[in-house]
Order: sequence, then structure tokens, then C-alpha cells
Amino acid sequence: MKDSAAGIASSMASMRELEIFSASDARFSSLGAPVKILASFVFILCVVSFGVYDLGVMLFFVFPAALWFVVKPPARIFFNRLLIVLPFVVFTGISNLIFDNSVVELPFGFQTRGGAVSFFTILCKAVLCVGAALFLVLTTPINAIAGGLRRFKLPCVLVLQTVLTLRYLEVMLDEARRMHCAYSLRAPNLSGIRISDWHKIVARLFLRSLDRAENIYSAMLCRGFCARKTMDFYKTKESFAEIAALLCFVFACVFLRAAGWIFKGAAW
Amino acid sequence: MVKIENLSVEYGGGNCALKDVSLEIKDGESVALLGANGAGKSTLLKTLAGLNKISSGFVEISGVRVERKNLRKIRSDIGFVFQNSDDQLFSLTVEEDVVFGLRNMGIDFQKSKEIAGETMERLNISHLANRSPSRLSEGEKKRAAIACILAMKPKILLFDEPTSQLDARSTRLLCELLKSLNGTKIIATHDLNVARSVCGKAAVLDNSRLVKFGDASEILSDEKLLFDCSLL
Ligand SMILES: Nc1ncnc2c1ncn2[C@@H]1O[C@H](COP(=O)(O)OP(=O)(O)OP(=O)(O)O)[C@@H](O)[C@H]1O
Ligand SMILES: [Mg+2]
Repeated sequence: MKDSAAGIASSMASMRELEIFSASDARFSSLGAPVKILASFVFILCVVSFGVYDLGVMLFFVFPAALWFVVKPPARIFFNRLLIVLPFVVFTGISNLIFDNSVVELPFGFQTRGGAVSFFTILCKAVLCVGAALFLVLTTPINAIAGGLRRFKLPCVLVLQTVLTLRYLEVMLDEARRMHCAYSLRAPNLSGIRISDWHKIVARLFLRSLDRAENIYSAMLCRGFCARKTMDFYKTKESFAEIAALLCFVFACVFLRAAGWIFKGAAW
Repeated sequence: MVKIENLSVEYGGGNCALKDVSLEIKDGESVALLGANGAGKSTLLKTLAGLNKISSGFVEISGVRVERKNLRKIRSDIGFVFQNSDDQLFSLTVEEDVVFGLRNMGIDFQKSKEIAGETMERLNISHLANRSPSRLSEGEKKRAAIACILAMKPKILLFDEPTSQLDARSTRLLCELLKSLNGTKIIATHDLNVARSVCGKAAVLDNSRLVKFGDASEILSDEKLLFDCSLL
């Protein structure tokens, strides 16, 4: 019982941790969100453009390696999140490993089973793409991401929804913590929540979170919250240096993508 | 001026929380809203802020009707401290929460931070500026919630049980602070001492109806009335 309460509390703590880190890292949070969003987008696009048997995707690990030394994100937060996604990826990749019996030629005349190569590239791509998204979140406060999305003319409703969902997620976790606490205090002999009580608890949790979310929204409205205006506070104009940095990054991505291609052609 | 005329408010399922309430509050007046649990105090305050649907009657604030199309205007004049501070505070840090409303008023970030700093200082919570609101004690949350509203310097202040979680000293300091504020104040409270020390007028609600509105000193010395309305 205590474990699940602790679990909820630690989820809340790590959500906050993520936001606090993103707000505090000076080097990258001073970089405009639109630039970072666009850079992540280009990066992901390049990574997914590699074929299933194309080991050139490994070249793109240069970026995370370089960034790691500059930003040094809290490794625990980063890997914890990566670990959430990895099982799904491994699960998808494993079917390739079993069913794909084709023979693939590797550079320098080596040969191996296609399944093994595709399993490996899927893993690489997943780590790179999820890593890029995580990196964006780790170095950009949520409000700034919202402003960045607005900069790309995404509809206000959509952006607001994203931001509020994150806020309400915390409200829901908080409600879950309170309810669990109340439940366990009145059922000290149980080691968890009775299965027969789950449906009641979940329904109640939903209603309570909804009520609280509504109250919070009222509080925001009472303090002059206006979706468009608030989202647009965080809209930034890119400086010349930022655009130059972005162009360099895009150029490096394209260069590596092309290098992968040439490398593959030459080796085959 | 706040003008309430034959106001009735019903929640879903025919649950009538206010019946036929009429009163007028002049600019700069402080009014204590008294009543037992469930009398309708919070409902009345929420209705003034346009958070409840009016079933019949109307409310006017500085000559503007409280209705959907005027809400933006009305809310820019009103500051509302909720009964439950958890509903009021939603930002990452206390300071961010105080700054939120100021930014919505169009004040630039630096100036907002300055005003937020001053307000937190007045409420003795400067040391909590970088703390997460959900991790504060109830009294600290209350003061943070009050700071969020006072920072915006609204013309009309609505307080729902502002002192309910505060210790004796914080209560006294808050009362002094409230007395020093110029705007119109409507304070829902169970604490008769707060009503006595801050408010010149009082309105007593009982069972969703307004039973008395007048001089605070007169109402607060009417023991029979207070007893009948479960306030003593
Ligand atoms: N969201 C709601 N839905 C339905 N009924 C409600 C709702 N909020 C309040 N009520 C009902 O309306 C009546 C007045 O409630 P209100 O919260 O205004 O009382 P109050 O005077 O503020 O009481 P307290 O001193 O306990 O805060 C109560 O009977 C309550 O049950
Ligand atoms: Mg109330």
C-alpha cells in the first residue's frame, strides 16, 4: 500500500523534476523553442529516413554524444523515461528477429541475417527519436514549447490542450494520492486496494479530477487567463545567431544522412 | 458598486443554493458575508465572479451585468480568493503563480516579478517564492493564494474564508492588511472577530436566503440573530 502511494508521489516528483530542470538549464533554455522544435523535427526526419537494413543510422549517435557533454541532463530521469519506451520497441523488433530470415550483406563483405540487422536499426532509431524528444522536453519549459508551437501557427486550442493536459495530469496524480491515502487509513489491514473497489475508486478519481480541473480553470479565468494571449506570451522571435545555429545543425544532419548513403553505396 | 437583485442560483438537480437575494454594496465598503455551513456564501461569491449560472435575478458590478459577454471586463475588476487554496494555485512555484495574473494583465515579466516580490513580502511568504504550492502547509497555501490576488490590485476583492487556515498571528496580520486595502471587500467568514475588525457592514445568509444586511456592529451584537443562524 505504501509502495503505490510512494509510486504516485515519485511520479509527481519526477514530473516536477523534469520541469524544474528544463526551466533551469541556462544554455539550452535560452535558445528559442521554435529553433529547438525545428531542429528536433529535422533530426527525427533524417533518422527515420534510413532503411531497415541501413546501419548508417548509427552515425546520428554523434549528436547525442556531443550534446551529452554540453548539457549533462540528469541521467536517471533520461534513462527512466527511455526504459518506459524500450520494451515496446524490443517487442516490435523481436518479430523481425524471428521471422526475417533474409541474408543481408554488410559493409566489407560480411553477411548476416536480415532480422538481426533490422532489430538493431529499429532499436537505434527508437533510442535516437525518443532521445531527441526527451532532450527537447528536458531543456525547454512546457510554456516555451507551447509558444514555439504557436510560432508554427498550430491552432491555439490544440496547443492549449497539450499544456493543460500536462497540468491536469499532475492534478490527477495529486487526487489519486489523496484518495489512496484516505482509503488506506480506513483500511489499514489491506495491502492494497481491493479489486472489488477499483471501479468505484477509478470513477471517483475521474470525477474528482474533473471537478478540480474545472476549479483550477475557473481560477485561471478569474486571473485574466486568455488562451491566445497567454500562449502568445511565450512566442519568441529568433535571433540571427539562432537561425545560423539551426542552419548549421540542419546542414550537419543532411551531411550525415548523405554520408550514410555514400558509405552504404561504397561498401556494398 | 455591486448590485444584486432578486438573485437565485440553482445547482443541478434542483438544488437551490441562493433564493431571492438582493443587496447593494457601495464602492469602498467592506462587507462580511456570514452564514452557517451550506448557507450559500461561496455560491454568492462565485456568482459575483461569473462562475455560476444565474437562475433568476441579476448582478451588476460597476454598472456592468454579470453575464457571459461581459465576463472579461468584470473579471479584470474582481479578485477572488477561493475557499480551497489547492484550486487556486496551479503553477510550478509560488512566485510563478503570483506572476501569472500580472502577466495576464499585460505587465512585463520584470515588473511582474517586482510586484510579486513586494506582495509576497507583505504576506510574509518571500521565503516560499521558489517552493511548489502543492507542498506548502495549508496556512502557507492560503497566504500564497491571497498574494496571487492582491498582487493584481483588483477594485473589488472577494475572499472566501481567508483566515480559515491561519494561525493567530497570521490572522491578525491579514486583518490589518485587509483593513489597509482601499477597494470594495466582500469577505465570507465564520470568524466573527474577523468580521468585527475588518468590515463595516455585514450580510447574514441562512438557508440560501439573505436574512439581514446592515451595520456590522449592530448585526454582530444581535445574539439572537446569530444564534438562530447557527453563528453562535
Ligand atoms: N457544485 C455544486 N453542485 C451542487 N450543489 C452544490 C455545489 N456547490 C455547493 N452546493 C450546495 O449549495 C449549497 C450552498 O453551498 P456553499 O458552498 O455556497 O455554502 P457555504 O455557505 O459556502 O458553506 P461553507 O461555510 O461550508 O463553505 C450547499 O447546500 C451545497 O451542498
Ligand atoms: Mg463556502
